[in-house]
Amino acid sequence: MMNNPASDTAVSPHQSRALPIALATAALLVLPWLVTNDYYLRIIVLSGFYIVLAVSLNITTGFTGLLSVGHAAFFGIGAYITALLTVGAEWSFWPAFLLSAAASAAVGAALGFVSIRLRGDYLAIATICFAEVLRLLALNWISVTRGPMGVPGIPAPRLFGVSLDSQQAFYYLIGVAVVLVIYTAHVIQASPFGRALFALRDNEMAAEAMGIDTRLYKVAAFTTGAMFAGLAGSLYAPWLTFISPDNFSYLESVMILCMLIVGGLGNIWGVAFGAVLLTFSLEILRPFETFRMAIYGALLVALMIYRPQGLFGNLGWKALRQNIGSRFGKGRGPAREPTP
Amino acid sequence: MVDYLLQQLLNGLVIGSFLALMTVGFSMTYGVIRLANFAHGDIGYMMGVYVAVSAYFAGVPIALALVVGLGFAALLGLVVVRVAYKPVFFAPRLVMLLTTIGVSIFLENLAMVIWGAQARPFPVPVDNPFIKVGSVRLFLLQGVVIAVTVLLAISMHVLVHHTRLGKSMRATAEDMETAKIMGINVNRVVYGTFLLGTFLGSVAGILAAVYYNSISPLMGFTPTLKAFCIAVLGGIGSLPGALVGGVLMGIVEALGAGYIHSGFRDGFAYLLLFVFLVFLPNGLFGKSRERA
Amino acid sequence: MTLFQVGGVGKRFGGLVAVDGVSFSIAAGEVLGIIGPNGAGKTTLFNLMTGLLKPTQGDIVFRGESIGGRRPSQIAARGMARTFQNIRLFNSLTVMDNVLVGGHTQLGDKFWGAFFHTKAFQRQQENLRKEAERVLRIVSLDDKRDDLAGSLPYGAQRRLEIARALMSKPTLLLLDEPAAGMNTGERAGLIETIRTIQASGLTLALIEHDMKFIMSLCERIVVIDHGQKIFDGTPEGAKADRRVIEAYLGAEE
Repeated sequence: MMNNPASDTAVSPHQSRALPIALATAALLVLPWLVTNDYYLRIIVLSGFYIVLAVSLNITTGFTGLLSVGHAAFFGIGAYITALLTVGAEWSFWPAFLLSAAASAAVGAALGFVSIRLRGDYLAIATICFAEVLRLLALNWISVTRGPMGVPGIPAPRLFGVSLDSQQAFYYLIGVAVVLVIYTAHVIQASPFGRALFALRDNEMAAEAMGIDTRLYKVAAFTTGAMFAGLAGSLYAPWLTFISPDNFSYLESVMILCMLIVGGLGNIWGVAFGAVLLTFSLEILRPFETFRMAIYGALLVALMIYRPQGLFGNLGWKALRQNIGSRFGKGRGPAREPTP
Repeated sequence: MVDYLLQQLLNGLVIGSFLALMTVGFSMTYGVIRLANFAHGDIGYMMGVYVAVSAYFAGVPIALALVVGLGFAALLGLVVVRVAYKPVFFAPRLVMLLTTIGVSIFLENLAMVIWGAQARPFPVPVDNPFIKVGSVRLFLLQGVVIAVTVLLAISMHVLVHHTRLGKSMRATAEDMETAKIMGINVNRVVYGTFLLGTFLGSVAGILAAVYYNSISPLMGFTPTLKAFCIAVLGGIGSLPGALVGGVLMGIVEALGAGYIHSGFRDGFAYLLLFVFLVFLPNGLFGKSRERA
Repeated sequence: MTLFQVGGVGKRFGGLVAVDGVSFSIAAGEVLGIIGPNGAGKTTLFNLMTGLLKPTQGDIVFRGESIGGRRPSQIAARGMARTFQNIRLFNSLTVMDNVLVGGHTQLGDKFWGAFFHTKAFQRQQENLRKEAERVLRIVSLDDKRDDLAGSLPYGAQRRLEIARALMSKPTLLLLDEPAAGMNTGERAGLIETIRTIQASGLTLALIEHDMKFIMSLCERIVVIDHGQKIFDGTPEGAKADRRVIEAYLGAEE
């Protein structure tokens, strides 16, 4: 249903859909008490983090067409700020959480602003460089970040005097974040704001000529994506209790991008599912460390060749193909124009 | 003081040579088919060295082993372009980008599976005497690196400007459709470009492996990223741009590492690249034909 | 009353002078034709007028205010809309959404309204949608509203561009070769559409090659050749003007 804000402005559920939705909600609410295996519960929580990351990157890359390969950096900013404030400065979690999301959003805005003229490969590279600079900074600025030793002993958030350190507690915490990011993504998709982002993705010059300040919207798309990634990072730090620069490498960013592709660029539920799918399959293959990554690389190539529109496809992609097909025949079109 | 500076400049020149060789290969393929090959450093720079080392361990004399490594890398370049890249030539950029990243991840981890994840020394000890020029020490290997780079640069210049393949390459880079109409076998040009590009990359890789006395499955990643940015900086497809940009980059890195913080060496490089990309997306000489 | 004025505007790309000191004005309510041989600088002129390019000299005044260095989005917000010679639609969006994007200047993004799903927001969206349907009827695309813009046939894509521009309720509408690639029947339809638009009180300027098309729509034309204005007057006057004839004959050689 993506790219079609016209036909479903209604965010509120339909009468007939109320029951299944209520059942699914109930199932998700009791899930952490049904999964007694701590290992699987951890993977479920981990996929929650990746859903937030993937759906937020989808706003930047899927909706707006800005090819960012540095999303893990924002995740890292959130995690590090929370870790350093709660461990070193002994802040309590919640103000650190807010500051993490805000700082990450601010850095996102700054990155979006300076890279405003870049598109495609150039933007991709610029975001990689940016993320690497931050990672190397975390690695080398030892007096602040402890460098490669990382930050251990990150305390769990407390709410009304109760420490939320159980796996179940984190399930609900990340669950709230997941609901928030998916709701926001839906609102954006169905709002004039989202329409402006799609327009800018499809044709920047025309969008500008129609009165859309494309600079502002690019920055906004970056900021929104970064904010949610920072927010996820802020929860990630106390969940892991230990973070180091390795947690936020270039491969993480690529992984998040892959979740987008698997789920279908722009397709919110598809992307969320892609996040779950990749998290689970990679976790289950973890014992085969290097093999797993080699297979992952090969599968990525195969996916790009045989099913670049993702497992569930998306309308944006179809439109692209259709359009190319109709004018140039056989679906082989101009290589350079299409988004992103 | 001055000696230290000169010594760092010399180091920078050597680092710059590796980068320049990497960039020439990267820039050629980007120029001809607009494919930013993220696996560039893994195909040539890394795999070439490992195959050479393996051949050496299998009893092949080192000189021959190096040739085997270079040959294998060039061939691997062909295979990758045929199997993985050709199907996505006309796909949107994101697809191309992720395909090359996929190849990169695949090769890096394949190398880890076969040869282990740890960095290790280059197996053949190389005598590395130095001569003193004034008070600056010029090591033999540094001389070799610079000489090989200059030699290859000249050969490339001749190849690009005075051979049929070179002319076809330039025509294809200018406009693929027109090149096709003019009867140029574009496929052959693309394969030729990749063959040459990966060859140059693996020369850089072998030189770097000997010079730093270290090889690792991840050794190709950073140079690739730098090569992309230097290619942009020097103008996509521009040979002199790649050389000047590479050397400039190498010097900045060496000075940053020597004077500010050695651990943040790559950080300086990325920071500079980021700044250049953002403020000079058309390159230093304004040669780049496209921005996206 | 003068709605729009170009004063000695020039644009230079490196050594190439694309537009060279052109001046003219557009009065409220008129339909101005801009013609000239291929490569005369007409589209560059349009891009200067809409802010996609910044003039290297001269000034542009729209509704009493200089818009020389403004961004296209700011100029659009002041009430100027345009179409493109090489169609620039939002291909992965539906016809309806393309037109709704045109309403951006009317509404803004209204993010918080959407986030909290306010009544006022819903009402505005409903009004915008009604307006969009009205505009789609003008260009006879109302039955295609859920099709993807990229899948429309060529002529329909051109009409959709006009609809999208109309949706922003412009005071000045610039059409860049609106009839390019259309057959005779489609052209006749387009002329009707443009007349309807004009009758609703809009001011129009259009670039066109087809003289018949221009003659049947415009009261006044400006002729551009080699980046310079060589004629400004009635279509009949242009037919008799020696420089205009030479420019066209010269170009046909």
